[in-house]
Amino acid sequence: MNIKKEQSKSGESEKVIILKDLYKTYHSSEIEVHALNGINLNFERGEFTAIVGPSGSGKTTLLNLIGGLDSPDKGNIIINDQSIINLKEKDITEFRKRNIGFIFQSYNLLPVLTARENTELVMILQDYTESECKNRTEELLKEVGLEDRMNDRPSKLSGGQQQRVAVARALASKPQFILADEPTANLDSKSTEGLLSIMEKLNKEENITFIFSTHDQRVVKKARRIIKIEDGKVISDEN
Amino acid sequence: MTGTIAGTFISALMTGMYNQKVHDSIYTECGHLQIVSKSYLSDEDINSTFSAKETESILKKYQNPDKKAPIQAFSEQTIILSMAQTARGNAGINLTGIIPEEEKKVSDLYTKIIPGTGNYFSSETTLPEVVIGDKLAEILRIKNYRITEKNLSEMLKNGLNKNIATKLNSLKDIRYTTKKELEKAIKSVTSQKEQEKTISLIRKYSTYYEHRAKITFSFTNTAGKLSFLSCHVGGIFKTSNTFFDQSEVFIRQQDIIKETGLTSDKIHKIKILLNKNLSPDNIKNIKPIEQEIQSSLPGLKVLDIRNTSPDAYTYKLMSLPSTFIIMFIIYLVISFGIANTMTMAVMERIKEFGMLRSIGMSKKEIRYMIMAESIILIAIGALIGIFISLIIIIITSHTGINIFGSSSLESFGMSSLIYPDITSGLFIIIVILIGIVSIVTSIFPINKVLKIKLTNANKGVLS
Repeated sequence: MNIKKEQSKSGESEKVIILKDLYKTYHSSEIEVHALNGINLNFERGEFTAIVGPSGSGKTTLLNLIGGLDSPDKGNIIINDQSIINLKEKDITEFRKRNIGFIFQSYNLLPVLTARENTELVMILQDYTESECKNRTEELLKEVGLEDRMNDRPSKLSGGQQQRVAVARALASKPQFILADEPTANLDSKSTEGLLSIMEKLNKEENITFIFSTHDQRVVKKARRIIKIEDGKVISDEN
Repeated sequence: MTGTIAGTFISALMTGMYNQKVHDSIYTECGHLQIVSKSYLSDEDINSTFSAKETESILKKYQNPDKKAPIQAFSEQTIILSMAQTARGNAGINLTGIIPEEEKKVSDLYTKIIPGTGNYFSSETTLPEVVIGDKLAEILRIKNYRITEKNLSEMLKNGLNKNIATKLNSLKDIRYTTKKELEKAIKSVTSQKEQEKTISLIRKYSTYYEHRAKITFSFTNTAGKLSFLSCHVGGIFKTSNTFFDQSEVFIRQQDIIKETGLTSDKIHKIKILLNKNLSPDNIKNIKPIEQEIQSSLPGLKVLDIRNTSPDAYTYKLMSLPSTFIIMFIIYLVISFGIANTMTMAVMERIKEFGMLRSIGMSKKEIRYMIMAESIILIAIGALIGIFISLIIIIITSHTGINIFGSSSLESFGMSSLIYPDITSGLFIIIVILIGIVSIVTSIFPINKVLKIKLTNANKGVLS
């Protein structure tokens, strides 16, 4: 299933993600945690949005639902005019593969692969040709400043460098959306600054929608839209 | 790897054991083929004979002068059911009349004569000469045990402790008719610790065969009357088959004919050894020649190893299935360990699997990936295991290995010294089992990984 749509040539704003009345509750042995309590949000193409809020406010849950990694108890998620909540396991996997790039807090790189191979991975899954993989990987790793570390394994890279590889991996197959869960949580100031610059640049150049959860003020300052959530509810949405 | 080494080596041991049994059955006891009269099959009667001359003239067509001829050699036999007696014991035996020069061409028994016990029908004696087995010698008390000055000094040369030798002095020159009696006497003069170290050495050097012992054989002749024949022992053989050693006695055909009332042309059996070009140890390869000989001798019956040594044939048939069962049990046991290792290895990398599923790897692809990992892990272990066990097998196939003690296997008709052997069938079995074990051992980790919620897997949480 490929629900990728042609981008708006005119650059007009376009609602590509619509979240309708989302509820999500986690049940542990004794207590119930209401992670999302009726979230209603829209995201437009090319946004650079930060979702902020204290720990346990529901940021990660929200990103997981948008990315199809989890499903809501109630409500609807419409991406590119199609609801994703009732998709079959196989279709939701295909949806993620074709449309979404993930950046994880702890990078989640494969330690046995080099920076180049980690970046190529998602393209291999999408049956890109060898030369396409090579060109795109080199282009992206150059873009994130790792052209001289392409053949190094993650263990030889710093945290900031590893996260930059993760960004390159997320962008490799040119997804419509990048979802980043606390991408700078494990990085120092310099690395954070570098990573944000790269993300901002790629957002502008490739018109990719970036949504990231964070409580890092350095990230918040760079965001063009800031959504604050607390106790599973949106308490502010500022541009 | 360890499992493969153990399994491969045990299988090689068993294959070696079975092959040796088949080899000994053919080259010492039965030959590749035997010819008997049809009546002899149902009733091993002295009168169930056939003409040696007629039959041998037909067999010669398949023999000389061409080296590629199917028959390498044959030997005629006259077999009389008899009772062997000495002053101290008796036993029922098959007294087989042979032509020693011909018999040597079909049986290597003459190479198995215990040194010092005789020369396999080459002595000049007044009485007929017989060659008997070690076990029969024991039953008839021809074999006994004596500690003498001479064998004590041999024991000392071969590592016997001087203190023990002094203790054994009190047992000198006493004749022990059984192994048990000797051991009992040794135990009475030595400590438990001393016995453990030296009892087999003492037993070996104190074994004594009565020189040119006399045995009387009684049997029914062709006229149904009881006949007696006294003979000297002209050699004692020891094969890998205790039962053969106990029941088979060989005598010159000319010596037995006189007493039985048979004529020299009347025989009970012809033993045939086939040409090695046919690879005749494999029963499939000898079927055509067996059928051809059978059609040339319609009045007689041609027998192969299935009839002449059914136990050896059964062992041969059992070889591959038993190897499979052993390997299967070993792999079954180690598969629990492998499944555990695989689960640990996969769980340690749960974040990686979470990431892979997040970026679009399907459950099917994850399944194949873990399964492939399991196959590679097991195959590498198995390859190293095969390599190491091959080295062990190559070494032990030359030196032989005695792991079951000196006589326990011989009582089952097998050699106690085993030369491990390996067949291509074993490798096929290992490949099949690697496939099965890889799939089975990957099921658990696959299920475990795929059950974990994707959002948890990305964080490394195992629930």
